Amino acid sequence: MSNNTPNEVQLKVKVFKILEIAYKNNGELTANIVRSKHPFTLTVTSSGTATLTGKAGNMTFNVSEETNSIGFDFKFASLQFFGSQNGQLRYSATFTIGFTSVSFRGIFDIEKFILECSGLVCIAARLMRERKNKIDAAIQGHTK
Amino acid sequence: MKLLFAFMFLAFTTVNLSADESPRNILYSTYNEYSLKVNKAKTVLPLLRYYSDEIYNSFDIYFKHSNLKEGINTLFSRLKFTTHLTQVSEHHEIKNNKTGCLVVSGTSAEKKRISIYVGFVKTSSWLINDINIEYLEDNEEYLKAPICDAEELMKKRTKNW
Repeated sequence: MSNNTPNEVQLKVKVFKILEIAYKNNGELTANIVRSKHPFTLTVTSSGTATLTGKAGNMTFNVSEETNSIGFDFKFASLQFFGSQNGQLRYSATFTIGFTSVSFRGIFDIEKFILECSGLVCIAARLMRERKNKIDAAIQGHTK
Repeated sequence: MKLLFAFMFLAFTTVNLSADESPRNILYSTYNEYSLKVNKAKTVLPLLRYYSDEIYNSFDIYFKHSNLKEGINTLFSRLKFTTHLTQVSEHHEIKNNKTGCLVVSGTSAEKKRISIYVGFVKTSSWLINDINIEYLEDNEEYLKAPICDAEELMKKRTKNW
């Protein structure tokens, strides 16, 4: 990716991966921030330091592997999430790469994210969901 | 005498044409000229003169990169920002004596609707000072009044969220 200014699709994948790294670092706090009905922000500096800030708290983590693949001239990313509604988050993002900015908006499906993401925390989240579904099914079976 | 009037009329209309048409779309003309240069350019050199001192000075990170070839290649790809827009459908510009803002809208190679906002500063000619490539959502319209400040643009786009 380093030799071409990334397009919207490539950067949306980055957003997904950065949030996945947040989950890996601190799943509970990330879930609290992301699932909150309140807006939150995500910023990433040129050195790859990401900061997730919301009403539930804030956390800092390293995403330099992701920013390095955008290009050595990656400068800054600023994302605003507008609070969860029906499991979906609307967000706006601006990536500054060299002397150019790339802006886009998107919708982030939290449920889908938790179920599709890879990594230990996501696997745990999936297992918990499956277990919850099994418990729900058992309760439903029991109450019939 | 008739010849003199004809000459004066011709001179008057010529002056009027240049005064009316040229400045009105001067930013888009500059963008278009640059875009054509980008399509033909084999190196970064013919493109550099279109940039303001502020941007030009920021090119140091490419020229001073430990791997010069990678630095120059990355700079070249950034300079080719106009290629993100493969089909132009409209353009609008605003300007005063010192600065200008142009938006060129259309579709990308992936058939996504995009707008490129280019901020200009005026010296002896109009020079590129800022670039923002915006990917639009399905329900969003191209802006008729360009906003070159990326933060302001985002505020406008998310105003009713």
